[in-house]
Amino acid sequence: MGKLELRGLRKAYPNFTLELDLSVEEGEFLTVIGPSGSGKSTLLSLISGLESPDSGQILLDGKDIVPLPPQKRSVGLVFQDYALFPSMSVEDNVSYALKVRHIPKKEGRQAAGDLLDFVSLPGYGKRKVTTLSGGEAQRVALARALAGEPSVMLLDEPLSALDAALRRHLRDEIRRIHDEDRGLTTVYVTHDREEAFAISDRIAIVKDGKLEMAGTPEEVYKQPATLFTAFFTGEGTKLPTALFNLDKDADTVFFRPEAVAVRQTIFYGDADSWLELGQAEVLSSEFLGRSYLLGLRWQGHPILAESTVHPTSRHADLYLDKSRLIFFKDGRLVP
Amino acid sequence: MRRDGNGRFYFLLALPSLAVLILVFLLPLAFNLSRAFFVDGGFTLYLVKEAFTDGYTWRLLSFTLLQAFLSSLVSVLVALPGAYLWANYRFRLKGLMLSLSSLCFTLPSILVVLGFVIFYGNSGFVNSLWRALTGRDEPIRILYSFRAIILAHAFLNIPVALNLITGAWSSFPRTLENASHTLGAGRVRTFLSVTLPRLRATILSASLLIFLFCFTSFSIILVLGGGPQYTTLEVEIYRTNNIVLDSAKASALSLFSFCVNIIIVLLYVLASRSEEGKERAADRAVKATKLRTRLALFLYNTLMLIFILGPLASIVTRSFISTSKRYGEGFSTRAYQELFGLTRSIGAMGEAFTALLNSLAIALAVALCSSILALFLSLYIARRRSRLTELVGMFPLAVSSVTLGLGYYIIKASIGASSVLVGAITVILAHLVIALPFAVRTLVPAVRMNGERTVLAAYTLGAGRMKALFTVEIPALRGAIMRAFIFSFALSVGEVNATLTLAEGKVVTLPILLYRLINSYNYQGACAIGTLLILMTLVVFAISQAIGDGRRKADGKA
Repeated sequence: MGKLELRGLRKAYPNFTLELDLSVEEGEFLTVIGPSGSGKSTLLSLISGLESPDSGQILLDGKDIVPLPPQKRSVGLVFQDYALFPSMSVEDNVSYALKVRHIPKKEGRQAAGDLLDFVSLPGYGKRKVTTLSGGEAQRVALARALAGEPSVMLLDEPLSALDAALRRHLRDEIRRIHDEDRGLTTVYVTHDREEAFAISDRIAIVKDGKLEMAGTPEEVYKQPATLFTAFFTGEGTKLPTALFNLDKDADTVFFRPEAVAVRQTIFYGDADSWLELGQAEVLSSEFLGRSYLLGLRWQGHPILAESTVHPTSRHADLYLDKSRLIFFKDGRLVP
Repeated sequence: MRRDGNGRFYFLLALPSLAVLILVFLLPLAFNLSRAFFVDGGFTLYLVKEAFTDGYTWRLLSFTLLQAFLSSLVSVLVALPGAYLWANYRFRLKGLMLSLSSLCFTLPSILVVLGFVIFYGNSGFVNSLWRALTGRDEPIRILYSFRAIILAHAFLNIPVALNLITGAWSSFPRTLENASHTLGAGRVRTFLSVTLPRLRATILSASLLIFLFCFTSFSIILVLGGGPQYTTLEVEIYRTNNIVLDSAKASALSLFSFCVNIIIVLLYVLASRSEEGKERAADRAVKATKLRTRLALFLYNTLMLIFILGPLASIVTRSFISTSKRYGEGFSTRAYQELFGLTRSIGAMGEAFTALLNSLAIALAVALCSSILALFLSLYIARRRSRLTELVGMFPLAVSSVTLGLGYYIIKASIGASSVLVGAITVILAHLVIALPFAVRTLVPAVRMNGERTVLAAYTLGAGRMKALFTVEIPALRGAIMRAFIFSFALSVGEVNATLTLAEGKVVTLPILLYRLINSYNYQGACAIGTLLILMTLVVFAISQAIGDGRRKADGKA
């Protein structure tokens, strides 16, 4: 039994229908990723109660919260554009959830101070929210949502408006806050897969309102349940299985760039574990730091491969690591 | 830098407009205000001292402030629930209702007076209904009372408040309220601590704008107030000058009124400055699902339509009904025949056709001058991001049209000209001052939206400044210029305060005639003119809507 369970959740819109089952464990950091318009933010609106589903249940600690208004749900939500109240100071924003619960002002101030320390903004209490930078505003939004001591914390693309360096820093900060807070359960929405890999215990991939797969970062990368997941979680190449003489009931073979060996000299690999493709043409080379990402053409098919050395001529021989080939039939994984 | 050079270019362009503005605005003001200091050729502070210290002036002031305060309070309080409904829920014909409410910005106040006399008068629609329902013969007396003044101001200004507050409210995304809900706050709490603080600045600036309108309101008080008991500063200035014929005393009074006015305008400018930038978020309105909400929407909209359209519709109906013993009672189009010069008339309606021609000619001249002057002023204001000139555009708001009219009256008197032509020209100039701020306020946002980048692009493609101005910049503003033109036209056609004060009735325009007809109880004639004014307002409105739609469509394509 998870902390938060979505059972048969369904909500129809003119252009797409959200339909999914998902479970989040207590203390877990789950990230939902998917292309824009896939229903990620809708999902958070449903959980927080800002929208109500057509059917299905949302169980929090085993209790269905669908009939409850957002005020009664004990779900914290951090908005994409922060949604800080411009007419209040930082402190009043943070202690808002306490004020609403009629907790005395002095205690509210105290709690706000502690929370601001917690999100690394000590002494910001009296500031006006309009004077905050993007990163600061995001931390205040986080502190404000935490003040109500929610059982589940939802974050809707909280870093999308920030620059790359700050994004990296703040995502570590968010994970730290998650870990240091008493067993907080977090659902985090993003479209940035790198962010998802870095921060999550588990990743759920959604497309057109449906769950494609949920699993640890390793699982979604190495054993993607669908072809869509495979491409959405990283670079890769798909080829028709008909090109090879493989004993598999599948129509597509998929592999990551690192499963390809690129050689311009003799290859010493074991014929049982490597599949020889033969000569391919090098079309492009992208320097990644530790290695190169090569774009090649083999028998008219584009192939992505990772190589530690830069190719010296326009042609190279390709070998595939058989243990890292992933097979799909009709877009679904063939085990 | 090129950009600075551009600033100078726009300044030079705006220079003639600025000069004209100063001339047509400051000159009469100076004449008016200085008149109070010179009595019989000698300098004196006596009149000004009297105006500022006399108990009567202060009683006038306190009544003026009181009615303005109550009027704006009533308007905003009635508008608030409507703005809540309009901003948060979708309903059919909302666009039309919003447009209708914006119509009230250009509705001539003399029309409101007429509509009220016809609708709420002793033999009007409301009293007929009252008699039919109760069987009593004694009518409810609504007109010619304090109540009538407040009611008429509310009529004019509820839609204004509704329009302004709905506009601001709709532009706030729902996110903040949602955030408050997820933090555990209920609806009331959320409204009080999140929504209301965001609306505060808008409510304040709308209230002050309405306060300003009511403070300088003239024809409504003049006719509906009906007596010295309910006199405001503006009406008293008019009476002192045009009936008591003491222009020096009137001028001292207008100096006093001007000082108070300036304070209100400054407060308004301050309040509207603290308004949040509108974010043009996705429409926050949702479909009303609860029966209660739908009922509320239905009731509010229906009552509002009756309240607004009732008096206007009764004007149109009344224009076809003759109660004259001489020409026979019942349905008649006689008033229209008189208005369009088809039938001769011996009464006040004899001047009807002349008045129509006068009004059209004056309004055309005003609209033409005002849109051209406003164009160059707006280019300068928007491109130089100038605050000072924006204030210049706002400044005429601080001078009531009666004060302005009095200024032109004194100018005319001191050069000894009394021909009709001079009268007409001074009317045009006075109208120009009244229309210009509105034209500028229509144009500045349009210029801001058509950013400087397109002009800079034209420069890089080899166009000179003048070339770029006339081939790129001005054509892009065509729609807005037309709006300014139409807006100015409408303001001029409906203007009564300044015209009445300065032309002593020598230049007869439609609203002046309308005023006279009300005074001589020729309601059919008055209503025929009223109907014509309503029609003109509607046409003006339809054209500006069509321009707006065209622009929106073009935006959609881009």
